Amino acid sequence: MTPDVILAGFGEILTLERLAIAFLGCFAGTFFGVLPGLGPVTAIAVLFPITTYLDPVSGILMLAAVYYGGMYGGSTTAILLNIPGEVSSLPAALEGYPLTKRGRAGAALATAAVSSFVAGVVGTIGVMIIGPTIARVALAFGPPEQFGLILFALTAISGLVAGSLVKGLAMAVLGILLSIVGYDAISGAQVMTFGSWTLAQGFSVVPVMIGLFGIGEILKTLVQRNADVVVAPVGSLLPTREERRAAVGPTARGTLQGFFLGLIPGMLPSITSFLNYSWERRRAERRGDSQFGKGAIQGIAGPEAANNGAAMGGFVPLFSLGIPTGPSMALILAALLVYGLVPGPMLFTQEAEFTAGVLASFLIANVILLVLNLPLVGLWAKIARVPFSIMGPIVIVCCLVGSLLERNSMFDVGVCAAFGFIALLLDRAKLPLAPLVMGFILGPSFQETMRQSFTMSPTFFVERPIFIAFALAAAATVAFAVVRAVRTARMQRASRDGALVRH
Amino acid sequence: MTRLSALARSPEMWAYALLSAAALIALANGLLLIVQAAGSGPESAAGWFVGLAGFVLLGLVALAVRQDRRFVAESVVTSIAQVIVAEEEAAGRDVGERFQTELPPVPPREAARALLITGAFVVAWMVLLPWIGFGLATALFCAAYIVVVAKRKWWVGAIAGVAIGGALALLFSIVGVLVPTGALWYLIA
Repeated sequence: MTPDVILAGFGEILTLERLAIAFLGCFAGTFFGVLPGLGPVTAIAVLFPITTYLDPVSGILMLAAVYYGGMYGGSTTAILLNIPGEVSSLPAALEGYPLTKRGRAGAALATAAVSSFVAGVVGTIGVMIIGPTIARVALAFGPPEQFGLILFALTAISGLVAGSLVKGLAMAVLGILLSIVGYDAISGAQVMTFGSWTLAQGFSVVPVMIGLFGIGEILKTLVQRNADVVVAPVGSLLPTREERRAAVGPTARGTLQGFFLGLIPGMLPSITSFLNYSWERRRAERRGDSQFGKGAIQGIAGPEAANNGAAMGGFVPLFSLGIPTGPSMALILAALLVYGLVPGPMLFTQEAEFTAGVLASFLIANVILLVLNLPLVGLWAKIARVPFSIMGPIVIVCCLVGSLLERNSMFDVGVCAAFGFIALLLDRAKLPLAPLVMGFILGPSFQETMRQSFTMSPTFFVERPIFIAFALAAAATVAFAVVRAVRTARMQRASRDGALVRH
Repeated sequence: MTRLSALARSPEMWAYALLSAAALIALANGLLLIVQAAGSGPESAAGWFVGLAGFVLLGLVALAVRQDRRFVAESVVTSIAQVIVAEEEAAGRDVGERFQTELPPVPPREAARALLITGAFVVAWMVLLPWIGFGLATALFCAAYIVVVAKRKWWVGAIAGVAIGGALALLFSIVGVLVPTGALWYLIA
């Protein structure tokens, strides 16, 4: 990407209208992010339909702003309110809460914001540097290579996100099946339509996503007891000199770890941020005088940087290969498709100006979040206390309307509602949603590239070295998951036997 | 009998049943497509793909059921989290006070009631929307939800419902998003 293309990108973004859109996106994203139980994916799912009324650059700008805002909102509530929830919010609970108790919540929030900002900016530059290189390599990819890549992406996310690879893969296959309902792209045959005209159109991405991540999340919150939300005083926003010095190293390490891990499908920002926390913890222990567990600012700075670094890293495979690394990226891919853009190497070559505009918009969104959100911390804390009984129905209605807008079909509204309930059922049964979404988004190209590869040569899988490399990587993921499963089973059996012996 | 009723209440059973149903539908549809295309050509290839996907899904469900009976699978993050929590507790700090992985669930009967009513209200919203329009349908939905599901006083529901319905309808009209305005009013007019 040449400097003049990047400058042109900035020129396109720095208009009053686009800045206003970025501002609105940051605000709306943070708004959803601070609500207990909702996160960046829900924020994108709910607001996505509205962005389709904008031009592509403004639409992606808004979605990126919503995404960052959602993540920022999540860490704000994690530090300030100590709302329990996912395992990945353990670092914020272990380190943020003691800081809050000492009246240093403001410093923790400021550190989180600055670390995220640094990671966001460095990550964007990383995308500008690495993206075009990978895109050039990907230009040489034929159907077999694409097929291998998708196969790897699906196994990686199934093995990493879920505890059980088998369950992850089952969800991925279900996603593929859902995506191919309707007319077959190659032969025109009707697949799983039962002669229905409505089903022949297939399931649209928008209502399925909004159902899974919008309505599903609301229903999940509905069947849980409300958390007691106690807002702690924020205190001074300025970190002390020691706190600032302590945060520099973890921010730098977190940014790099997050960005590079984030390139791998399945390495969701929440996972990388958690891994970074455990690494920083080990590092501090090795060096002695670890403050971890007692409110270490390193435990805020590192994971926050890793989180945003991974969020940026995920854009590299999305823009250069057309492969999302997780549900948020899958939603952005869906948005690109709605705007008529095909994610893949062309984004860095033929559509370079568009991509430069989008990357510039990431930088702008990061700056806006930094200057806008810290002064508004008090407001966010108040919004987090808005009772669920008011927020629940608003989000449900926004989801239903969103699913109606794309094709103006009541079938889509029904699909959205049904998938909300399905998401709740799958969550209760501990079946992961991320592989389902990946399978659903990548399903059509998985099928096409697989069939094209077999048409090109029935023995393509031993002839194409890049395909073989991807297949080996997928096999390695499977082997890793199998070894982990065997070890977990053995440990659980041992502890069960131990308990029996004691009785 | 008790085992059967326990199975009927388990979400795993329902989820696996859903997956198996999808797998069987795919398998049957795949076979049908292959037979219709007399086993050759692109239509048959489509059939093979769908049928195979259904077969693989069925196999994965069987494996998942078998795995569930033998051990509880843990994600990488959960495994690391367990080590960290154990360290914290060894250091004499109470993690449970600060962190719970899951919020306690509401009693099953209450949860079922809330879900059923929410589902019914969503269906009612869908049915009413084309007739009475977005603003009014949303106001009714929110008011009913706040009074019945969230168990607030009726006037709180009424005020909040009107405010939310009005605000969302106004917001959409400003942004230029077209929502149904209600066929009933045109019929009356």
